[in-house]
Amino acid sequence: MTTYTRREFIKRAALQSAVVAAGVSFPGIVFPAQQSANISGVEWKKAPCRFCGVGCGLLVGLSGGRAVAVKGDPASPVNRGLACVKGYHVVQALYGRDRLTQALVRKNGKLVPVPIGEALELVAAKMKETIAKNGKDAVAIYGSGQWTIPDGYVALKLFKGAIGTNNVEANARLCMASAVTGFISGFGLDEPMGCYEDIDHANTFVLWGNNMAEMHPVLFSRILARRRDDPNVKIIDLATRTTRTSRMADHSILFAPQTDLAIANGVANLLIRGGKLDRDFIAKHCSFKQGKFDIGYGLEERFKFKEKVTDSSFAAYKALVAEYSPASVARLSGVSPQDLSYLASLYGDPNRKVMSLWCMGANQHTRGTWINNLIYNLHLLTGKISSPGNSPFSLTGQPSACGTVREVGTLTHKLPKGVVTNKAHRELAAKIWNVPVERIPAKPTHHTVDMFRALDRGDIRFVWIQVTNPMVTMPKLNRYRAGAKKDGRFVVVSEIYPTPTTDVADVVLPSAMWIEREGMFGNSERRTQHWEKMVEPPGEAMSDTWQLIEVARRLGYEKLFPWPRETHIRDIWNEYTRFHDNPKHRMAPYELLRERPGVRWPFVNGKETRWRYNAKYDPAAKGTSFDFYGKPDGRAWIWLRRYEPPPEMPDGEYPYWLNTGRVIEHWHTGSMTRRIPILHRAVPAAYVEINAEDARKLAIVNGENVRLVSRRGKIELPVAIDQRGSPPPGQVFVPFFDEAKLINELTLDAYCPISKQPDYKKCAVRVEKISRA
Amino acid sequence: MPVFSYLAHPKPGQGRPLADRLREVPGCEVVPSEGYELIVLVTETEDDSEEKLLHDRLNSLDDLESLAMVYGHDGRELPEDQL
Amino acid sequence: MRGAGGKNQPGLKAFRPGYTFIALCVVLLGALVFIVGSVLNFGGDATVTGNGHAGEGAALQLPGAPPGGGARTGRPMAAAFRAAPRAESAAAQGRHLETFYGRRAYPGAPPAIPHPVAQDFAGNGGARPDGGDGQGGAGDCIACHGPGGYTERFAAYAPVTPHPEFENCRQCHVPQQEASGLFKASDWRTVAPPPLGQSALGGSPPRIPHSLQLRGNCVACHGGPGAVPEIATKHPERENCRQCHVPSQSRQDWRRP
Repeated sequence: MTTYTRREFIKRAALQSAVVAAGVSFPGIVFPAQQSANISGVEWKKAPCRFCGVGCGLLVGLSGGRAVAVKGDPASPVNRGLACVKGYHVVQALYGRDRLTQALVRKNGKLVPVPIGEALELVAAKMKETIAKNGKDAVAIYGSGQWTIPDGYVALKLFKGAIGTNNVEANARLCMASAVTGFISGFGLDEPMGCYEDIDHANTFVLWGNNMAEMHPVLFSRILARRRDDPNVKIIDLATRTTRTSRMADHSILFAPQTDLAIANGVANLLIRGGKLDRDFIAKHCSFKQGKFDIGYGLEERFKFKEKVTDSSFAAYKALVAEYSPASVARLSGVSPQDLSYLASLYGDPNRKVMSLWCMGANQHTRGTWINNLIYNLHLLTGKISSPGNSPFSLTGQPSACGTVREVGTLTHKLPKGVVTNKAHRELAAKIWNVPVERIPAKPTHHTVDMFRALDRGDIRFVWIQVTNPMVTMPKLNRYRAGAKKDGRFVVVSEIYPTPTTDVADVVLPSAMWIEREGMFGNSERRTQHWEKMVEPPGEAMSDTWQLIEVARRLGYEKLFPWPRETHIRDIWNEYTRFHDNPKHRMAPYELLRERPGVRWPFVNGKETRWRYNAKYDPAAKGTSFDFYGKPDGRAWIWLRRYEPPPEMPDGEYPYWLNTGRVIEHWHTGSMTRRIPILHRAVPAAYVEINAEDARKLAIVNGENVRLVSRRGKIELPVAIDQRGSPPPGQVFVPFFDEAKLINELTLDAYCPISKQPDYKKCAVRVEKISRA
Repeated sequence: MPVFSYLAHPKPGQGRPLADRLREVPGCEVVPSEGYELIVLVTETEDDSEEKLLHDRLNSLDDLESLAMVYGHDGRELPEDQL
Repeated sequence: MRGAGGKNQPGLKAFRPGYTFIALCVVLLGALVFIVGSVLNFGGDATVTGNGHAGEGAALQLPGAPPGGGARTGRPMAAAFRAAPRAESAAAQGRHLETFYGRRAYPGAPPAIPHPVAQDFAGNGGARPDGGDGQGGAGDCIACHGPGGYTERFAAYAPVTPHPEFENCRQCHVPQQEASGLFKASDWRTVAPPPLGQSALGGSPPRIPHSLQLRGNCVACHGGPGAVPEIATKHPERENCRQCHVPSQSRQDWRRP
C-alpha cells in the first residue's frame, strides 16, 4: 500500500478541487486525466452552429446514434456558452419526417426514387453530353455560403480546374458581395481587420441598417452585456424601420431608404468641419480615390462596366462631402441635424472606441459597394480602425459565407488565392491542382443574377444547385423560375428536404447535412471551425463534397480527386491551405482545428492574428504602426462616393417602399427551421408589416389579408401592425422564409453594378385592400 | 509550504504556449484541459517570500488572461486532533 | 517535487490511506461549497488578474461565464424566494413536471413562452428609460420574471429567470402558436429527463442531475412561485443549496492514481 505524504495529499486535493471547479464553471470541459465525464449517457461533441455567420460554438448531445440535445459551448470564444433559439434547436433540423433519403430522377414529369449510383451516373452523363453539345460554358454550379469549405473547394476545382469553366457562383453573391468589393476597394484584401473581441473593448456601437437583436442575437447579447458593465456604452440603431434592435438601443435614428449614403457623407462633412480628424493617420495611412459616379443599376442584359479609378485628394474629398450639409442630409433622409451631429460627435470623440456593424442593409443595396466604402471612410478619417475596439465590422449572414465563398473563392471571378484575370494567380492554381494553366479561363463568366438570366436565355443548359434554394430567394423570381423550367435545361439539386427548388429539378441528390459528415465553416471574424461526423446520414444521403467527387470521377478526373473517403476532408484541407500559405492568410493545421473551438487566420507562428494591418498585432504588417499591405501603396483607400437615388422609388401607382428580410426564428427560406416544431409554431407564416397610420388610411386592421402588388408580381398576406417591427409611414416589410408567400416574386433584380449583389430592401409596391364581395 | 491551485485562463488561442511557459516555471504543475481552453495550475513553494516571487513571475506572463484561485493551503500544519 | 518536501524526507507525517479518503472528501466538499462559489462569482479576492489588464473589464471575465457571474447561491437566492408570494402557485395552476418538460425540446433546452407576448417588445428593454416597451418598463419580461409571483395580466404564477443578466430574452425564448400545427411532421426524439431523487444513500440529499450553465439560480425552478411540485424544494428555509446538493462531474469512482 502506498502512503501519501502530507504534501502530496495537499497537492492532489488542490488539483482535484481545481478540476471539479473547472467542471462546474465550464460544463463539458474535459481534462485528459479525468476523461469524458458524462452523467446521463449523453456524449457531447463540438460543432459550429449550422445557421448564421456569427459561428457560435455548440456542444451537440449524442445518444443512441442520434443528436438529442444542444448546449452553447462554454469553450467557444465566440458565444461563451450562449446560443439563440435557432441554435438551441438546430439538431431538430435533421429529423423532419420528409427528409430526402433517396435520389430522385424526373421521369415523365414526375420525380421517382432511384439508387444514388444511378442518379450520379445520370448527372455525369448529362454534364458530358451538355459540354459536348454546347461547350463547357454551358454547365454551371451554384452553391452557397452554407457549403462547407471542402464542398466549395471541390466544386471550384471540378469546374475551374478540371472542366475549365468559370461558371461557379454561390448565393453569397446575394448576401456578401458588396462587403467583399467594399473590402477589396478599400483595403485590397477581403474580410474584417478586427474580430469579435472588439466588442469587449468598444464603447460605441453604431448599427448601420442591422437588426442585430434578431439577425446576430448572440453577438448582440455580447454588446448588451458590455453595456451592463459600462454605463458609458452607447448603442445607436440606424435603420429604415423600428425593430427589436431599435427598442433595445440607446438611440434609434430612422432614415429614408438609400439615404445611408448621404448620412455617411454628412457625418464625414461634420467631422471635417469640426476638425475631428486624425490628421496624422490620414497623412500616413490613407489615399483618396475617385471611381465612376454614373454606374447604372445592373438592370441591363449583359451589362458591361469597368470602374475607372483616379487619384484624388483630401481637398476634392472635402469639397464633395461639403454637399452633404446637415440641412441637405435632413432633406434627403429625414434625419435631423441634431441626430447627424450626434453621430459625428460619437465618431469624432477621441475617447470613444467605435464599432460600426452592418450586414444586409448595407450589402443588399444598389450602391452596396459605396455604402461599405463610406462607412470605412468614417473610421479612416478618425483613425479608428485595426485596433482593439475601433472596428468597422461587416457581419455575415451564412455560416461559411466567409470560409467557403470568400476564402475558397466560389465565385466566377475568383480562385482560392486571387482572381482568374490574374496570370500569376492562375499559375498558382494550376500548379497546386497539377493541371495545364490554359485550362483555367482568364475571363469571368456570369455572376449569380446573370447566371440565372443565362439559364433563361439558354447560354447555360446544365446547372447543379447545392445547399441553397434559389426558387425562393432569387429576386424577380417569376422570370428565373420560368427560365429554369424551360425545355432543354437540366437542373440537379442537392438537398435535404423537398423545396420549391427541388420542385423544378430533373435530379435530386439526397445530402448529408452538418454533423452527418465532417466539415469546416469559416465565420465573420475569420475563424475556421471544424466538426467531425457525429451521426449517420439517413438512407443513401451523401455529403455534397462526396457527391461532387463521385461525379468528378465519373467524368474521368479521378486523378484530380484521389482522396480516400476516410481521410478526404483532411486531405482536401491540406491541399486547399497551400493556396494561403503566407503570413497574410495562413490557415491553422487540420489537427489544431480538430482540437480547438475554431482558429482565426492569419495563423502565423502558432498565433491567431486578431487585428490585421496593425504591426502590434499582425506579423505581416511592416513597421511599428499601421501597414495596409493589401494595397500597392500600403495605404487604406478613402473613396469619394455620392448619394444616388435607387432605380425604383415609390410613385403614384406604387406608393410604398417594400423591404424584405428575416426573423430570428427562421433561417433563410425556412426549409430547415420550419421543420423545427418550436420555430415553426413561433412564426408559422409570413405577414406584411405596415404602419398604423397607413393601415387606418387604407381601412385595414391587424390580421386582415391584403394584396401586395409590384410591377413584377402580387401576393396576399395578413397584415401586422405594430408587431415585431414597425415601418414608418410609406413602407412595408415582408419576411422571405415562407415558400407559400413568395415575396421575391415582387422584388426587383437591380443590383450594385460593382458587386452584382441585388437590392432586396427597396422596390415600389401598392397595398390593396381585398374587398369581400 | 504554501500550495495553491488555480484555474488559469489563457488569452484566446494561447492555451498551448501558456501551458508551455507555465511548465518552465519552477514549482508549477500544469494540467491543461483537452482543448487547452483552461489550465489547472498547482503551485508549491517553500515559503511566503518564494510564493511572492512566483506570483510576480505568473503576473508577467503575456498569454495569461486571468488566474482564479480554487484551493489554498498556507503551509501551516494543523495539530492532528483538529483534522 | 522539489525542496524539503520529498516523500522520503524524515519528519514528515505519512497519511494512513483510510483517513486519506475521508479527508479528501472533506476537502473536496469544502472546496466545492466554499470555493466554487467564489470562483464563479469572480471579481472576488480569489481572482488574480493577468498582467496589464487592469481596467479592461472584459479581460477579467472568464469566457463561458455569463456576465455578472454564474451561480448565485445562498442568501440572495433565499431572499428572493422569501420575497416571492407563497401561494400554491404552480400546482394550483395544474402545472406539473410534465408541463415543465413539455415546453422544452430536450432537457435543458430554453423553454418556449407559454403565454401570448406582444410581438413588438424585445425583452428586458436594456438601457431604455421606458423599459423599451413604451409602457414605462411595466411590460418587459423582467417585470414579471424578475421577482416572480402572481401576475394579474396572465392570471398565472410567473417563474423567476435564472439568468436576469441577459436582456435579449427573445433571442432564446419564443411564444408558440399551437393552433398552427407543424409545417411537416418530425421524427425528433430526445433523451429522458434525469430521474428524480438521485440520492446516494436513500435519505441523503439528491445530487444535481443537470448542468448549471445558464441555470445557476436554483430558485428559478426549485423554489418560488414557478416551481412545479415534483421538483420544488421541501425546505425553502435553508439558504445554501449547494451545501448539500452537488453536481456530478464524473461517473467514475475515485481511484488511487
